[in-house]
Order: sequence, then structure tokens, then C-alpha cells
Amino acid sequence: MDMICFEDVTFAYEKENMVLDHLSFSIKEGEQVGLIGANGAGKSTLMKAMLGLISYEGHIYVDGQEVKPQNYAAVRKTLGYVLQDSDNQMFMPTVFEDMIFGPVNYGMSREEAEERVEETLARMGLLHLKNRHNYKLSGGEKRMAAIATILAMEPKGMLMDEPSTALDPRNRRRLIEVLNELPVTKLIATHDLDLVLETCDRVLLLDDGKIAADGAAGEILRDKELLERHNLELPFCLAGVRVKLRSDT
Amino acid sequence: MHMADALLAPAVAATMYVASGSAAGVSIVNLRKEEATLKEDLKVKLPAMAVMSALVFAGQMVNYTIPGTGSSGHLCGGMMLTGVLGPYAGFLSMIVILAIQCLFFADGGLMALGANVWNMAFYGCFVGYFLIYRPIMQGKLFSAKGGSASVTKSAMRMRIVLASVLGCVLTLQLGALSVVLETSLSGITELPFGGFLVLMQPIHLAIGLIEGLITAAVLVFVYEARPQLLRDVDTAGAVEGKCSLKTTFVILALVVAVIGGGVSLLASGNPDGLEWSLFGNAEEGYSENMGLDEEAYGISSNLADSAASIQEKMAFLPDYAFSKDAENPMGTTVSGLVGSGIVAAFAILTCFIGGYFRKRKLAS
Amino acid sequence: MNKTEKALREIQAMGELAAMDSPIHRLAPLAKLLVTVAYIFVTVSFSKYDMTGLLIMILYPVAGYQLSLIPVYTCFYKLRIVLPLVCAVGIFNPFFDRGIVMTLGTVSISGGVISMLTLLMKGVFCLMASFLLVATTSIEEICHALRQLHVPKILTSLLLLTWRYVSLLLEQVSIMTQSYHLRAPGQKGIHVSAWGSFLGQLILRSMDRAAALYESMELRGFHGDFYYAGQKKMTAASWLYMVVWIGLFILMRAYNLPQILGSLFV
Repeated sequence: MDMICFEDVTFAYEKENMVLDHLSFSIKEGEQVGLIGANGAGKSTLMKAMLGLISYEGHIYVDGQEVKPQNYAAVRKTLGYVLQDSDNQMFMPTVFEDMIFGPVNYGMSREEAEERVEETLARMGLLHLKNRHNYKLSGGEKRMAAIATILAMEPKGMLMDEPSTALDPRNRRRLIEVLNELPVTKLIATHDLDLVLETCDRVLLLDDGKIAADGAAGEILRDKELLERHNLELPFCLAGVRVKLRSDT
Repeated sequence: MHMADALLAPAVAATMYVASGSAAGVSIVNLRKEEATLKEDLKVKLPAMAVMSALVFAGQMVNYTIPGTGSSGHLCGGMMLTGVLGPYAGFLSMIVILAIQCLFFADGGLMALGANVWNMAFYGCFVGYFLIYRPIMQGKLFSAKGGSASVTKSAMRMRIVLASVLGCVLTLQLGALSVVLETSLSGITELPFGGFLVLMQPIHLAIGLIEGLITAAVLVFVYEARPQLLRDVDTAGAVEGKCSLKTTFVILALVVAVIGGGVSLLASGNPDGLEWSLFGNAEEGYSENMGLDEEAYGISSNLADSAASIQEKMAFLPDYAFSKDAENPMGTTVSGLVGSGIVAAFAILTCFIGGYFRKRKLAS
Repeated sequence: MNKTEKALREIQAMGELAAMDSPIHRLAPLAKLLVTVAYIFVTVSFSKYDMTGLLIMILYPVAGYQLSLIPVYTCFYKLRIVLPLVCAVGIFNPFFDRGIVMTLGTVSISGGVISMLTLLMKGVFCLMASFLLVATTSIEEICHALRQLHVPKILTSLLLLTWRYVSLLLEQVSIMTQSYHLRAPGQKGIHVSAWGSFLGQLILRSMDRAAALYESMELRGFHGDFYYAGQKKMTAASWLYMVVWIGLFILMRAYNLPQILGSLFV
């Protein structure tokens, strides 16, 4: 069954400038999809559209339900959205309060929600962060905690906007591990193509609001010509020795 | 201008709480109305209010160099919040800023919060908006000849500058006046009402001008970048006009120079009221400078006299400032002092003992 | 270190104090809030010449600081903000109010001196009490107590959310100030040419942030009320604390206890 289905979706902030241009595609349950494309290709807009944060033309279905105002609550419970800036994600004083925020708002009892939070933190190995203040977390901890706040809502699918930016190599590695341990459907918008190679089976290449390519991650990310045509580059791990080291000359 | 708890008598503080509380109630009711008419959920507004109040809080700590002087000025929070959020949301945001300043930075007292909200938020948001900001922004000032509907951008800039400066000056004057009124009504200071006023108003005139200019600069920038963020700004018909921002500032600088010059003249004509009183020359020249009754405020021979005369001046709060102790203010002195000494010694001892145990606890 | 950094550090220090554990920390926030308000109210209500009667009020903050294990000196740093205006107002009292109210040996003390000292004591006591409240109570707890007192939801929600963003924006402003001064050595403040853009830029960014924040709240089903975690209930101890202290305050106000104490010796 399709988790996410776009049917001829169009969106523009100003009339002449299409951000999403008659998009149609679908993502099956359990698929791990990387959403790539140059800056301004429409990645974030696409994610906002399926959460009902912008009003578009066409039809989007999430888990069989069309994205329209009366279904917003259900859609947003189905799809968790991890924002690019964790500071916007985490607006409560402590990690625990932030994590409990979503479940309680979606009608869970407090005791249950507290249990759920404990469970989620334990699963991610983050129990030590539980009572920490958000503003005292390091960049890596903040990102992990932000993901935890979404996981606590137990979504069926997750949308992630640039999850690996500003993470150090070790935290980035930890993020990849966490992502691979999560069985839910995922759509990851990122410029970190190496991360896509390690976490996704399928890649959607977006350019100028249209899908320029859709296929297996291994295929698309190896296609140097295709990537460069859309202002991207081969992932480092596939590029071979492409970088000439300054210090070697 | 933040008042501490000690500067207010309970009755005054409570009155101000009621006044500010009512204004807050009115604001919430009106926000709900706006919510209904604009179909804009209060939930949408909450994050904007929170982020803006945090920004004003942080922004007030930025020092702005005042050209030609060595000193620096600050942002006027109330007018800026009003310009961006509107009077009701701005007022609530100011309450929150003042509450945070009072709770966590000891800037203003918990009991004085009502008064502080009134002095700073009420005038800045309501008086500033309804009497100044909105009339100026929606008026015909600086608009093109012949009364055409379209407003030039430069006219809008002029209006923003004018509204900010006038708004800040007026609201700070009212605020300073209220501080003087509240303190005097509380019977805290012996400083005569007039003297206190002479001390407060000119200073706040200068502060208001500077704060107004800084606020104007910020709001003009926002207008240029994203006019739809500002209240009552006509974004549709704005066309580029000839009058540049520089001209606006030149005109304004002239206005400032004239007003500022006037104030300093005024101040130099009457500068020493406080000095006289400080150095005890109250008899000569004091009363004519202050315009006050010499008999009441000269070197009074005994407390009861001056107490009575001050009381007369404050007839609207009779018997307030002076309790029955007034005739015998120190209690029966010696035993009072001895007892106080014992209490103080006990308190200090407790601190030391507590400190000792705390250290041992930490060490273990 | 600029003002914003200092403020950030103060916020952090307050957070750490409030996160400690002690008998006072464990009390219900509502009880602490009401006791603090009662204390300030009673303290301020002392007559301006009643210095000896007022002194007994110091026992509450002293006891509070000892029980909560918070060093008393931590609050004195904050006095720098409160005292100037209090001093400015009080300093004139000795000059205007010269009636001699008592003589100690050859030194005569005027009513103005007494009232000035009383005013300063009130200022210091009230500050100690409110600092004790925030040093033992987190902002969420205070908001929860305010909700129990029926303060409108929008105000407590706003307070909580603003508090969250205060540190973030202080940090932003601090970084912007630093980077400004790195490129403008020797300038004390923001030059007039950057008056508008310095904060203006931040406003634009903040409004974008507010939009993102709204989305994030919306996506997690915000209905206008925050859940206050780990609420401390009005336990028997909290009731006792509240009743005993408020009772004592009334007693302290009604009788000049130091004087009664002194008369036992004199």
C-alpha cells in the first residue's frame, strides 16, 4: 500500500514561479527514500505540502487519506516531520517536556505518554538527556533529541529535512545507525549524498519543481552526468580520488 | 525605569496590579475578537509574540552609539512590539518581558510588576498605538498633493519615523510621570513632588528621543525589507517617491536639535534645585526654584511639622504614609535597638552555620 | 564580556539553582509563590520609620536560603540593578526630613536617615525573597502555579515560550554583537548607519523562526495549553509551610518583636 501518493501536485508562491510543477509519484510503506536536489529545487516545499502546511493544487494521499483540513490531525500523526533547525522543533524547556508534548496533544493519557517517552529514549540510548534543558544540549544531542520528540509520537512515516547538517562525523555516524534501526517509512531531504547511499533504497531527484529522476539509490547516485546536469556532484565515497590535496603538491 | 518593590506602598502596588490586570483582560478579549474577525487563530500569533518578546528582551541589551556623543542609547520595546504585533498582542508580550526581567534579573520587583507594566507597557502599547502610531500611519501626512490614494514609500518612512519618535517621547514622559506619582503616593520619598518631576521628566525626554530614533531606524528597515510585517502600513499602493530617507533624518535631526536645545535651556535655567537641597541650602533660592512652599520644605524644625505638611500635599491619600508610629517613630528606641541587634546577630549566625554545613555536605 | 553574555550566564546559573534538590525545592510552587507575595506585601507595608520592627522580617529569607542550601551571596549580585533607583529615591530623605527622632550618645539620628535605611532594607529583603522563589522554582513550575491562580492560559503559555526563546535570541544578539565589534574595533556601540539593520535583520529572521515554530507546534497538535511535567502537588508540608510563614508574617507585622525581645534584656 502507498504511504505517500502525489497526484499532479502544483504549488507556487508567486504565479509565474512554480515551486512544485505537476508532481506525481508514490512511496510505498516501509520504503526508505532520499530526496535530493540543488538548493531551491522544492524539497522542503514538497514536505510541507504533504503535511498540509501550504495549500497546493492537485491531490496528495497519506496512508490512504487525502491531505485536506479535516484530515490534518490524522495525517500529521501518521507523518512525523523533523525540522531542519532543531531549535524550532524543541520549544519546551526540557527534552522530556518536549517529547511528551506531541503525544499528550494527540490525546494520549499522561501516564501512557510518559511511559512512551521513557521507552523511546531508552531505544535511542538517550535516557541521560531526559531532564536536560534544551538550550544546554550540544548540536548533536539536540538533533538526536529532536528526532526523539518525533519518534515519541510513533509515526508510520518520517520526513526529515537535512538531518545531518552541522553534525560532527561521529554524531553523523550515530544518526545513520539510528535511521537504519528505524523500520518506519522515511523520506530524507538532504545534500549529504553519502548519507543517502547508506540509509536509502530509492532516490527522488528534484529539479525546478519536477522529478528529474526516480530510481534505485545506487543507480542514480552513480550517474555522474545526471547529477551534474542537476547541479549536484557524485557522493564522495563513489567519486574515487577526486580531490587534489593542497598539501601534497 | 523599572521600579523596585520597596518604592511602592502595598495599596498603590495593588491598585496598579488591578489597572494593569484590567488592561491585560481587555487585550485578551480583543485578541479573541481579532481571532474571530480575521479568522486568524491565536495559536498562529503565540509563536510570533514569544519570539518577538524574546527579541525585544535581547535587543534592549544592544548599545547604540549616539553620533557626536560618547554615550549610547537603547531600543524602545513598547513601540516596536506595537508596530509589529499590534497593541493587544504587544501589551501581553511586554507583560511577559517585564515578568521575566523581574523574576530572573531582579529588574523591578514582583509586587511592583503591576506598576511597571502600567508605566512601560500600557503607555507604550495603548497610548503609543491609538494616539500616535495608528493616526499617523493611517492619516494623510506627507501624502502626495491632490490627495491621491497611493502613498509614496518615502511618505511611509516619514510616518514611521515620526510615529516612533513621538510615540517613544510621549510614552516615556507618561511613564516617568507615573513613576513619580506612584512613588510620591506611596510616601516613600521626602523628595517633593515637583523636585522629583524636574529630575525625571527632562532625562526621559532625552532618552525618549534617542529610543524613538533607534526604534524608527529598526522599523524603517523592516518596512523596506518586508512591509507586510508592520501594522497599519499600506503595502499595496506604495510607490517609490522622491523624498529620501536622508531627508527624513535631516528634518528629524533639526526637530531633535530644536527640542533638545529647548530642554537644555530649560534645564540650565533651573538646574540646581536638587543641589541646593543636597547641600542643605534649602533656605536660599530653593523655594523659588522649585515653586514650593518654603515653610513646608525648608529646614523644618521637627518631624511632625514636615510630616503634617507633606500630608497636606498628599491629601488624596490621607493618613496613608504615616502609621501611628509617626509620633514615636523608633519605637521605644533602646529596647528596639537591642532587640534588633539580637535578631541581626541571630540571622548572621544562621548564615554562617548554614554555610559551614553546606561546605561539609559538599565535601562529603 | 557583553551584556547579553552576562544575561545568558545568569539564566544558566538560575537554571542550575532551580534544578537543585532541597526541602524548599520540593514544596509546591503555589505555596512558595503565595508565601513570597505575602512576604513582600508585609515587608513593604511597614511604616517608613519602623526600622526595628522591619528587621525581624530578615528571618524568612535567611531561613529560606539555609533550608534550600542556596548561598545567600548569590542574590547580592542582583542587587546592582535594584538598588540604584531605590538609593536615588531614598538618598534625599535625610536632607528633607531632619527631625531628630533619637539620640545615641552624642549622635542624633534624623527621621530621614531612618526612613532611608528602612527603604534600603525593604529593597534588599524583597529582592532576597523573590530571588529565593526563582532559585528554588523553575519557570514551568511558576507557570503552573499561575495557572492554578487562574492567570489566563495565553499569558502562561507566552511566558513559557518566551523564556525558551530568550536564551536563543540572547545568544544570537551576543554573536551578532561580537561579529560587529570584530569588524568595528574601538566602537562602543552600534554605529548609526547600522541602527536599523542590526536588529531589523534579526526581526526578519525571528519572524521566519516564529513561522517555523508555529508549524512545528501545529504538527504536534498544539491546542493552546502546555503540559507541565512533574508537577509538585500541594502536599501537607506545602500547606504547613504556607500557613506557618504567613501566620508568622502577620505576627511580625502586628507586634514589634525585636523591641519586645530587647525589653527582656533592657
